[in-house]
Amino acid sequence: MSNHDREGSHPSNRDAALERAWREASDEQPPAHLDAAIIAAARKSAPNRGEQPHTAPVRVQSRNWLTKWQPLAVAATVAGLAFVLVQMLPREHDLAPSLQRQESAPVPASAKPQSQSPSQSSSAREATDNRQAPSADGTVGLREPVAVPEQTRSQSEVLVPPATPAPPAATSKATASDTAVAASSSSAREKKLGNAASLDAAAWAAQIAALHGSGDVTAAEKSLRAFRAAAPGADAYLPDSLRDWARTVE
Amino acid sequence: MTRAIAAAVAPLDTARRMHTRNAELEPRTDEALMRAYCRGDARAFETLYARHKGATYRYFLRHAGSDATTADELHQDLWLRVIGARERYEVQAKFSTWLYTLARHRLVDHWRSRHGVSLASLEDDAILSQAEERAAASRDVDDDPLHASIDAETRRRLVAALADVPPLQRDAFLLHIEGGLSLDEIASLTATSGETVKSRLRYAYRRLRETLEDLQ
Repeated sequence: MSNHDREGSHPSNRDAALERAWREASDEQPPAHLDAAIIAAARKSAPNRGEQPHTAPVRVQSRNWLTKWQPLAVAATVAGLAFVLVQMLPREHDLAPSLQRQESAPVPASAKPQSQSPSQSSSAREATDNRQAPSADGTVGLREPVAVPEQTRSQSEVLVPPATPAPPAATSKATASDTAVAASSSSAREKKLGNAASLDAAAWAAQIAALHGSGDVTAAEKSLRAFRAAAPGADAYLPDSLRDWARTVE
Repeated sequence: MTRAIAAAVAPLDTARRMHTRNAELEPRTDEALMRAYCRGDARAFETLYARHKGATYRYFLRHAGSDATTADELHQDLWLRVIGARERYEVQAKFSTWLYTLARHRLVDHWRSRHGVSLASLEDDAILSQAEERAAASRDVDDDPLHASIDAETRRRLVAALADVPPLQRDAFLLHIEGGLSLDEIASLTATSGETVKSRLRYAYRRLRETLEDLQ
């Protein structure tokens, strides 16, 4: 009978010695690459939740991601800003070529001055519309103003409220020196009359009175004719002292 | 060249020894470590593996006739099965009993695929009886050579002697001495009675003791 028979599951001293001898004789271990493969498989299978050593690589990975993409993000931002600036600049530079094209283009027939035509007002409207119509390149109000008959222009300008203060009524009471200066520059005043787009009927009548008072009757007559062409009841705006003179003007 | 290899292997051996020492210092039981691994703690698995890797490897190595390639394959398959069972593991027995149940199943599969035989068919009661008779005749309690430290030749002869032991007796011996399983646990694992396990162990012990006595 063996020791196991005598002592059940507890080995005897002889079996203990055999076990010790066996453990000294048998101490092989699995190769290191096998250990590494098994440990790697275990780590891959288990996410290792709550383990501090395994949260660090995640932080390293995020830092690497930031380091990797930061220059690209900066470059993209700079490129975007440059694109916006480039998109803004050509709009200002394109103004000159657009105007040059308009200058070289022939004036539409409908916009040509027809001073004696019965359709003067319609021509003026067309000219006005043409001025405000969008151009071929999409720009609005950038076309060169077409020539508009003076009478037509004056008629449209009557409806415009004065942008500058109307000459005071005391203009007719100008001093003699002022009158002389005004007489010497009658041509300049005519140009002013032509450009006075914002004058209303009362101011226009006051200017006629000033011209007449300064002795420039010719200019006053010319202005009165233009005034009549623009406003049918122009004589009613004139002061009483000029009514008799106005009746002589045709 | 030899020095270079030794220098390269030395840190690895040091790390493995430290890992084994950490596994020995770990206060948690095998079952607690496996439960921790089931919850996702891979370090618990590393400790568990360090505790049992040598024993399971030698279990396969002795059954494979010291064929390291086969032992590597079986050892890796076993632990991959442990890893694969992580989500369905339940503590119903000692971890070592569960582990060697898996190991034994893997070994049976290997024998079936390679040799077309099972462990049970290799048991030879005639051999067992003859061995018991021979051991009883040569028993000498007073003169025990196992108390002396063994040398390299003794180690080689011991391993060779176990290779000559029939598989079921060898299996019982390895489960007992490498796996640390008790007779009852081996009986439960192998689905046999305690007396059968005791008989198998007795045969294996006698065979090894004869080897050592012949060396004297």
